Amino acid sequence: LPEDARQPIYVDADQAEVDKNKGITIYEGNVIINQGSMKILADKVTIFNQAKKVSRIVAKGKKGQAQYQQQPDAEKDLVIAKADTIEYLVGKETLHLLDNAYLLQDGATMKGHRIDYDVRASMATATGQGNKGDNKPNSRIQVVIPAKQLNREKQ
Amino acid sequence: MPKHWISLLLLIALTVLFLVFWESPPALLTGAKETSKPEFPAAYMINSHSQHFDKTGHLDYEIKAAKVVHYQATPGRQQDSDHADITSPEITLHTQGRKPWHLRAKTGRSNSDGSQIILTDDVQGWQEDDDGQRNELNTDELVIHTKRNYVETDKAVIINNSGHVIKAIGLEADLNKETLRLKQRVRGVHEFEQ
Repeated sequence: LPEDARQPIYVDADQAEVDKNKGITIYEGNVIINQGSMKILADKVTIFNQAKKVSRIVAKGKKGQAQYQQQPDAEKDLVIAKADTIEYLVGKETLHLLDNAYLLQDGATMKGHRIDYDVRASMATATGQGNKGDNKPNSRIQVVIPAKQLNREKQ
Repeated sequence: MPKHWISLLLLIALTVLFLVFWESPPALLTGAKETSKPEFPAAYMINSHSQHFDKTGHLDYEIKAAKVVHYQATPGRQQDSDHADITSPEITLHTQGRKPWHLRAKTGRSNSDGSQIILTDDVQGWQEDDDGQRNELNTDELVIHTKRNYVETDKAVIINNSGHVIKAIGLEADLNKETLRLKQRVRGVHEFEQ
């Protein structure tokens, strides 16, 4: 929701380590992060502080992928994202989904090596891996837009 | 020698052996060094302020207290069981190149050489940063290793690290390196960059 970004960030985890010099807090074990309607689930989360405020959050999955969900607006469906690593730039409200990235938004899905998602503008940019014309797995992106949404756009 | 004499002698020997073991103190059997528990205070101090220095002459830590009662099992000879009970201890741990950590509680106990002090009952710790913000620590019990500037507890603890509040069960903190490890059931609340 628009007011999410002004909410404090709540974290639950099994263990944590704080390194004041480096300005980082590392949470490990069943990590759950909540900020308003935004939620991140991961095995390991590193919170970076800048001038003692949270500036960046990096979530990594070990047993599974890191997961993210947020409600962009009261009328819209949840945006759901998964990746091996999720980086969230708190101030810019930007999400970087790195490695095996997946995004579900308004019924449309997007897959690729990397997806950058602007939370405020609800805009996603996906990039594959490797050079043009490669046919390696993950080298291209896949987008699936449900027929219903296509028809609605045609009218 | 007829048989019944031998068995009689055997019986007597066993009885004597049993009685010897029954009467002898455990230390004889287990070989453990018997340390007697100090029952009476050897000395006490009222409104004390002690300063402790390291080998290079740097101030390591200070202890202020309303009252310190020192117990020594054998006057003049230090033993492991010797200790000091402290009322309203206020400890300042000096870490080189950084602001000191202040720790206080209602009660405390120091071991025989002061290398370990256990604070109990409403333990509060704080350190002020260069910009005046405070890092705080609150728990029910805290073990301070004075020679290593290292503190630990297995109790519930609340850390307030410049506005980021973290609750957990169990803590280990190296005050020289300024690193903390929170052991179980961690709950954090972080303010964010506006």
